Amino acid sequence: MNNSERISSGIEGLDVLLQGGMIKNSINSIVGSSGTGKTTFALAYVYQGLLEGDHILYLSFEEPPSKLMLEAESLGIKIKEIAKNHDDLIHLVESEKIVEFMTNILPALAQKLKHKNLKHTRIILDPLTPILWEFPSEKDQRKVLTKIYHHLSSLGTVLQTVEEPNAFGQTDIGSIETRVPIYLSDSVVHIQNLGLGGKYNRTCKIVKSRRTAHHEGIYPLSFSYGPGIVIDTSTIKDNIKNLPSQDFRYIELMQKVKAMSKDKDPKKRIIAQIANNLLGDRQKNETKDNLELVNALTDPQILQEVRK
Amino acid sequence: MNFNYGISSELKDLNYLDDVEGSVLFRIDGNVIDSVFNDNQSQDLLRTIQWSKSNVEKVSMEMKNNNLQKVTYELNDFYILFFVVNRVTVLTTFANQNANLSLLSIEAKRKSQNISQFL
Repeated sequence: MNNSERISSGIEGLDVLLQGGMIKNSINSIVGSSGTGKTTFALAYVYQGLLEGDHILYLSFEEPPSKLMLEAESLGIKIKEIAKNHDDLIHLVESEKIVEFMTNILPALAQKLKHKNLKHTRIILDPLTPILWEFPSEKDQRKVLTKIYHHLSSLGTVLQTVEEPNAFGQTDIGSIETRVPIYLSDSVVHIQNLGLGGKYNRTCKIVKSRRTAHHEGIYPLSFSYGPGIVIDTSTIKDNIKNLPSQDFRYIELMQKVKAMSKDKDPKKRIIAQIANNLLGDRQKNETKDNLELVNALTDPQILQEVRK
Repeated sequence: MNFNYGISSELKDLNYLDDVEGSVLFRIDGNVIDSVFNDNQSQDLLRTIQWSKSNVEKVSMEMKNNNLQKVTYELNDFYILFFVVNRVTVLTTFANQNANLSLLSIEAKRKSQNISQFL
């Protein structure tokens, strides 16, 4: 069941719920009402792609790229720092061009990119809802989306955000605006905000995930500076097992350690060696403590102290 | 600290009481946060749990509107006790007809107070 090749979502905890991450070349939907964190999910997904050296195709149908970059920055998602051409990363599709873009330009673009033989591409459609509004009948929506998905899934892994059109705190995942994308997606993550406070106020639930024995139930979700969004999966035992190199902080720290191990300063190289050994112990239960320790070891301020 | 471990342990404690068949911590929209059941579940109990899951939203709304802390239902030869834990969650306890309701109410109330510390 889990033998499909998977990629990390970049959202702490989500890979655990999905038994190792999103299936490569699949269509994944994040469904939620306004303010639940759909775009933050998308930005964390982009950041993870950049860390892994994936090609990114982010199509925004609402927000201008500058605003999205600011949002990422405010949550500590360092897209700007890591992307070589961050100005060219997100493309805004204006509302009057949506139909033409989805029916003609996007399939052509997908074909063109396919011929370029790029490494795996992460495609983000944020949000998909304006496209659905352009095709009011479910039959047309299905027709257009099937065609688009066919092109995009051959290019890479798609993450789309879908607006749940209910009043704040009220949810109805089966509404007409969400039915077709949910039906056609390979995996659906439903995020909710009841607006009443407490640990289970904001939650995440896997509604469906094809070819995956995903975890059931609702899991607390919180916004956090750095990863952007964190899903609390502490109720799931051994949640780090089988995920050797797929979570956000691990990859980030591994990159830092790798860079440090090539440093001219021998002290830095020794620190890198220690950090590397600590990260190698991920299969054990003390993993989270190790990550904290490595984070401290690779901190520039602490390095200054060591040098002194 | 794993807060859910605390919730689970409180639910298990409640289940040790005589004639308690199970307990569920529901979010007010009917999603299950945690649950503990006895090993032998009858069809009737499953139907009762299903009924609770689909009605927890209505029940918690009623409780909120009327400022009720506890509501008891009798269905399919089971008692169902709803206790408000906090604004988002409700503790539901399922017990058979032989249960001592007074003792169960006291214990369920205590457990709901304990659970609220974890949320």
